[in-house]
Amino acid sequence: MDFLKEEYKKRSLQWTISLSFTLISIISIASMAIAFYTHSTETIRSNTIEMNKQVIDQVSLNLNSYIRNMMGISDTMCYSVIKNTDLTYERINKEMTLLYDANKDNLTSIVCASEDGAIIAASPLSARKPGVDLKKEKWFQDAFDEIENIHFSTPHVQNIFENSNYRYYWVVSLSRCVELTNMGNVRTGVLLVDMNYSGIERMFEKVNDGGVGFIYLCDAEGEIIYHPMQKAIYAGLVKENNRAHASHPDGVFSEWFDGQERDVVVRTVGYTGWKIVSVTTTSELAPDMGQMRNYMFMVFIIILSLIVFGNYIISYVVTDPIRKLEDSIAYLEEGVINEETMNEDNIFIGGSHEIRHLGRTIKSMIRQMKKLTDEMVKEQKAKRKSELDALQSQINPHFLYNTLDSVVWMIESERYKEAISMVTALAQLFRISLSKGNNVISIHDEIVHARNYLNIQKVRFKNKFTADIEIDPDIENYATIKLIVQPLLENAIYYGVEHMDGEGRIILRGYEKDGDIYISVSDNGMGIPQEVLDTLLTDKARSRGKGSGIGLWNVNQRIQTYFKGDYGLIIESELDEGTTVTIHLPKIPIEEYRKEEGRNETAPK
Amino acid sequence: MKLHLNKKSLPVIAVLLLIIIVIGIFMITGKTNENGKRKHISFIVYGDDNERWENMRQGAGLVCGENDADITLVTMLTEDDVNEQIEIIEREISNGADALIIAACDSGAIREYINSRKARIPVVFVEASQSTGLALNDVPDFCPDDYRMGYELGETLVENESDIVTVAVISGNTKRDSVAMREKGLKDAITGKVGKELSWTGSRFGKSTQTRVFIQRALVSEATDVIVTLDNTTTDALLDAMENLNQSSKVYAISTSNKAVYYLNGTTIKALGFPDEFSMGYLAAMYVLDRSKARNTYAGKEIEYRIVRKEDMYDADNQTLLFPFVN
Repeated sequence: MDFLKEEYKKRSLQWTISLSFTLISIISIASMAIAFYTHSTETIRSNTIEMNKQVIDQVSLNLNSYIRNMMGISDTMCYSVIKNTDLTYERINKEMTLLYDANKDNLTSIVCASEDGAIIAASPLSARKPGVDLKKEKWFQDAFDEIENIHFSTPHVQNIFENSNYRYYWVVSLSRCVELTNMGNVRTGVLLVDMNYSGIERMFEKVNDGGVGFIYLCDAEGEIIYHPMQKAIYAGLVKENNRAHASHPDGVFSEWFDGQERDVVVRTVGYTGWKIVSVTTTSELAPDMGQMRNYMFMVFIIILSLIVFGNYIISYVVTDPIRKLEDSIAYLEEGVINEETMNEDNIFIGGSHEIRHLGRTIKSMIRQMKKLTDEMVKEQKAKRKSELDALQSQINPHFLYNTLDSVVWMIESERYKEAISMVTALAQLFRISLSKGNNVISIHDEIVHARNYLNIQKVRFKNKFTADIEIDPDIENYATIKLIVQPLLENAIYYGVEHMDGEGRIILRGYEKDGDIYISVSDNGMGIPQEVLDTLLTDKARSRGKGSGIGLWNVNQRIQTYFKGDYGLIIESELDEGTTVTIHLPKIPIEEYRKEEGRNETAPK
Repeated sequence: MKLHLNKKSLPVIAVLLLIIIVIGIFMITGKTNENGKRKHISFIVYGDDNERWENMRQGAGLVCGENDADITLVTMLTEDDVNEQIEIIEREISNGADALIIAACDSGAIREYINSRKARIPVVFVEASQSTGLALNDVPDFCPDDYRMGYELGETLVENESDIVTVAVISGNTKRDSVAMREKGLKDAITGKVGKELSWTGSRFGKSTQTRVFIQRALVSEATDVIVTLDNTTTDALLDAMENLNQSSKVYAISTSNKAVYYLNGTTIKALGFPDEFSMGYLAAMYVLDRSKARNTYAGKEIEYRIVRKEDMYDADNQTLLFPFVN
């Protein structure tokens, strides 16, 4: 079940609708078809049974008539001829022959025998087979069982008379006990009427010719008298449930026999107790049923095909707008937010009322999202600017304190000319610092700024150190955050070369490497101990050292705030050798930066 | 709604195709059922006596009736002309027979011919004796246990007759396996248990009249108490010859002819071996028309035979075998 649920979740809405409708349709149609087929087959079966009953009625009528005719011959011989004749003085052959001739199509012979087996009269006249003892014949013995009755035998080969041309006759013997009169004395004898078996055979062959099923005849004990497969049954090739049928009362019933389902109709034939049995195997109805089954199967397939097709179209009409809407908002799931993805015109609006409404709602939602995003960007920029401004505001007092300290020192030393030069440089420095309010300036301006600063400090420190500036001219037009070199120079002077015994040296380098910009400040000072080095760029470093103590941390924070990523400061130092602090910046041309800056500022809100 | 033809039309085409296929299959199936070809079996037998094969033909005909097929009995002009029977087989195959049931005039030669020809239609033998029932050979055969039948007939002879009688055995066409096996069984049963054995062989069994003449000459030339025949042809020829010569020797025979049954009812034939030819025909036809049913239902079923005497020939079981409903 869980598997089905998982599969269900993986499938599209169209697939689910199509499959569900199709399954429901198949179940409905199949149920209807099965019900119809079952009803139809039952109808065919009941019609067949009804037809067989009618045939059996007709056969029963014919057979009754035939048997009554034979019994009539026997009665005539018995009551009209034998009973009225004293065999001592008269013969009965003439009357017997007349009766035989009148019915010879259905008769093989008529025989009147005494109780000791002697033939008194017979028709047609034939030579009696030598050695045949009539008393041993079953029909003869049956006649004495219930002397008032007429007895019918099962089919057998007549074994009384010689036949020419090696012929033999299958007969059904009708025997009865008769009273023979000789000189007024009455003794018993047997009257035999041998019915030609072929008469019964023809009667049944006719009804078995064509149609479904077959009809056979058996006696009350189930001995087969006629069966279309009689010979095969005798040979053991075919089985018949004749014993059970004979014991069954008249009527209709179904049975399983020899691996087949069969409908059986049983009818008893009047006087004889014989049973006419109609048997129809269900498989025999198969051609009719098969034809109907094929027809229903064809209709089923066509209807099913149309339903599948209809389901496909309906599900397509219903789900295609949903699919298109889903496609049009798929990028939102990926979380990509840019001009293209936030373009509300891309949202599909179509299909039914509900889906159009959904589309419009999503469109409105995206509009709101875009508005919120723009506001968020603007707020972020403002926040960043305020942070930079705050950091910037931290540096100005720091620098100003140091510079003014130098100017004070010059004035106190009455070095007014140098003081004027220094104040002028300071003024230039502040002009660059202002930079029309821009936090990002070209590297060129930043270097000019640094040079001014160095000039100021050189004066202050009485040229205690030398400063070399080696800037690759190719990098001068790239962008940098302003006032990030000067703090490094300040650190190099105060912590590097100020307390040196020899001449201090500061080198300012600017170059491009691996697509990024690097600006380094190296000094040959005493270096920085490792434990100090480890804390220089951390927050803790802010309260240590001379001045405000915020130089390196401040620069690093500003670079990382503005450019993110791996940009910032790299500090390398060895004790008694010197320190190099390197600024790592992205390579962004200043013009490009200003354009981008201008676009952001003029973007619609 | 706008449907793109290339992609969206696929289901439409599939549905239409399916409907066309279903209707096509239905129509073809219906047509096949209506005009389904009725199968035709050729029942090729030796000799020129139609009636001799009637019982077997009736058994095969019963199966044909159930399986929408018909059967044609094809006789020869002679009893033992292999070439003539091969010609008939070829003719029947080229005439479009769907299956062949063959009563071979020369079991070995015809079997070899059929095996080498590799006909693409089912072929079965009746009256051959190489094996019984549904053989696993290339060409199966349907026949009783001929050796056993000959042996039991010999046992009956020994039981009924004294041990000094002279017995003449008319072998007949021993190229037919059935006759050869019967003869072998008979001789195994009587050798050493009767006075004298005569073997009346050497006849060419081209026509029944030639056989009768040969037997008449033998009857005249050699005195015998008991004569044994092992097939219909020699039995009928012997009975004719004896009638012609007013001979009264006792006869023990294996035959299914009406004449043999008639003489069994008289005094001439003392015991008659009677194979169930109806079942042979029935099973042979079943095999060529519905092999699976033949294997499933009748595999292992032996063809019955009975040794019948006058006293018991009208017993219920025997009379259904000896007197088929074919009159």
